Amino acid sequence: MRKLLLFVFLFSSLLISCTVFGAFIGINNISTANNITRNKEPETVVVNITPQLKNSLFDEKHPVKYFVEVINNYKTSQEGKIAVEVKAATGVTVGISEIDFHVKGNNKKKVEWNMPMSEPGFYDIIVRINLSDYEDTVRNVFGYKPFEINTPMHKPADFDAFWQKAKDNLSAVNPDYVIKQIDSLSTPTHKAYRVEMTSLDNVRIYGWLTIPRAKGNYPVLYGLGGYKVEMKPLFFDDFAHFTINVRGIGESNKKINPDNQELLLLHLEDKNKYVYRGIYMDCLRGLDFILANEKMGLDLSRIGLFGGSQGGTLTWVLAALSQKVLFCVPDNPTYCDFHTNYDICVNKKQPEAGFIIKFLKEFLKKNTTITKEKMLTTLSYFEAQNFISEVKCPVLLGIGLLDLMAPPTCTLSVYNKLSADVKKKSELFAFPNLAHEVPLEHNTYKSSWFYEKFVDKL
Amino acid sequence: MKSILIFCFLFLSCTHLLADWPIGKHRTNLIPTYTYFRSAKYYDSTGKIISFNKGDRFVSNTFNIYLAHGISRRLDLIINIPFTSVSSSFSGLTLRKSGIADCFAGFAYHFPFKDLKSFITTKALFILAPYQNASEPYLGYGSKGYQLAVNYSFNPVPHTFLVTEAVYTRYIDNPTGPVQIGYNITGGTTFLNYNYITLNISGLTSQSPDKSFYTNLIAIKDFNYGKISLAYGRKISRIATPYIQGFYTFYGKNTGVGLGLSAFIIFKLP
Repeated sequence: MRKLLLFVFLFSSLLISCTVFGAFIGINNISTANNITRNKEPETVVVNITPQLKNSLFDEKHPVKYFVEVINNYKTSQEGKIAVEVKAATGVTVGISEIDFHVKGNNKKKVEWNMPMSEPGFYDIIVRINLSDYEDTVRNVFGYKPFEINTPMHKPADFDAFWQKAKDNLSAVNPDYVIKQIDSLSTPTHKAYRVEMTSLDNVRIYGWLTIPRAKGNYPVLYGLGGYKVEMKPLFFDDFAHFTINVRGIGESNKKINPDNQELLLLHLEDKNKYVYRGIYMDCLRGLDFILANEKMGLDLSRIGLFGGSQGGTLTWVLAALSQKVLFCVPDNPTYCDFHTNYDICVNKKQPEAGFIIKFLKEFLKKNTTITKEKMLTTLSYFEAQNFISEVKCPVLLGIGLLDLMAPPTCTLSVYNKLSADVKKKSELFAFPNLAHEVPLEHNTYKSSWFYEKFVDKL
Repeated sequence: MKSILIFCFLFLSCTHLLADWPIGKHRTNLIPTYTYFRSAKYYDSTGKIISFNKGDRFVSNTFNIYLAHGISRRLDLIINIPFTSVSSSFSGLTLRKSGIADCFAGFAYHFPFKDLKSFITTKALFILAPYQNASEPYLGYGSKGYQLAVNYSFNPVPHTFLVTEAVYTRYIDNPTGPVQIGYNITGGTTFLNYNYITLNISGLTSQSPDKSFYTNLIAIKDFNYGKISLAYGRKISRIATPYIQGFYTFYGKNTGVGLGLSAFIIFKLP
């Protein structure tokens, strides 16, 4: 049975339609793979919200379609309404639909919602269930023509000169590498080293290098860390691993941040002093260290970058600042597009939108002489989208569509600005039911990607 | 028959030392193998072990190249080329022959499970016999053939793998085949860091309309056997892991009782 029930138009551009299917109950056959499954208690109602495409990325050939399945575990019938609202990333409602709903006791019913979309973007789909003995609201996110999302660029005219000067300043600093093998961290299969070096503004930073003991020149995986996350040594069977603890982590924080301010806001008033100018150069200094230590058994023609959150952004920035990396693998990169990120979080009025915009709003409150525009102009020097045209290596991007710290609108916008040649070699994986994380199987996939990309050399 | 057995043993000697995960796109596994095999007894048609006459024996030395190359993330190309030297000494007469024995080439396609750590793999291999069985001892059946296999590979616990496989082989040039159905169960683990150990138990039933028993064992096409092999390897460099392996036929009918030793190196490239 396939029956069209109800249309409600809020905007002429959007039509939401739905179809209802009835079925005998089969509780043991409830599918939860890639679904949002709510309320698994036995004597109640279970609601499954399922996109027709597993990754929730739709386009003209694959129109947006969702299935809402209601499983009534009560003996009594459930009656009420199911409403579906679709909101743009800015929080503006672009369509809403509501149907009368009835499901018999110990039965299930599936409703199909078709949502003709026109504008590329990511959208919230909010499903509200209001039944006799059960109420729930479920949020999911889908993308429509996500590879056409293109948010405005805010690249300062002197962006390239700004970073060239930073690189020149870094080059003038003697790195003064100190490499010390740490027996307590070494294993029978790996040697572990603590390495120290001097970076921009003579800030001393440190990192970890692990190298398998078996003979050979090892490709290097350079891991970059999340916001204020202290990186530890990692051990890979067939790769050397290097990671750097950028300024603001460990001893360096005392020197650069004696008042222990929030690192994201440190010297935000001045682009030349902003902490991320140093952080980005710290990552580059880490790469300098790798390139200076081939004799330790490192294959300098095979260096790959990976990182999550801020670390994801750092992979893009570093790949842009140096062409000596073979690939980069960011997960949920932040700082992609501060302007759009700010608008999304502010417009949605969601306090859980993540620390980044929350801190920036606090900064504006405390520094009343600095306008939002001036702050965002400073941040333009540090957002990933302005670096991305210089990324020439393949990218494996993983994003959680529910992520408010790295909204998919921002991450896709940066990904879409990769050159056509780079995009051909790159891949994107979207996870509709996750926020600021990727699933375990994606980490397995990344591991095979490392091996595959390390077949090549620079 | 004895030479056929040798062929069978060599065919299986090194291909199951690895879990059957995809090789990886554009990556290559190269495994050169040397195998020594000797048989001085045989299982008769009832499964009873009978000794050859004193001084009678069958010996082979084989150098084998096995290559698996990842064409894509799921599709691997497989090629195996053995060069065999066999020596058959019976009733005071010693016969020798050397040459390229049965080669095979084909593809393996892997179907991953959601976790990307378990796979069902299907294989289709073509068997080519680049030699003539004009005189004994034979290097194999001297027949083209094909082999189909399906296996499931997974990690039962961390740092281990297990592969269970069913194999169907058919030789097509001769009406008497044979047709062979086999199984492989292979488990492996790492221990003390760079050390690896692998245990393989396999069985093969070879069926043919020609069920005759010949004193010339080479002519028998209807037989079965079970084999156990144990391999130990140690990683010595980023790309190379040498192994030694021993194998033994622990049951059989119309087949030789043999003990073999192999040495091989698994190169994972690049």
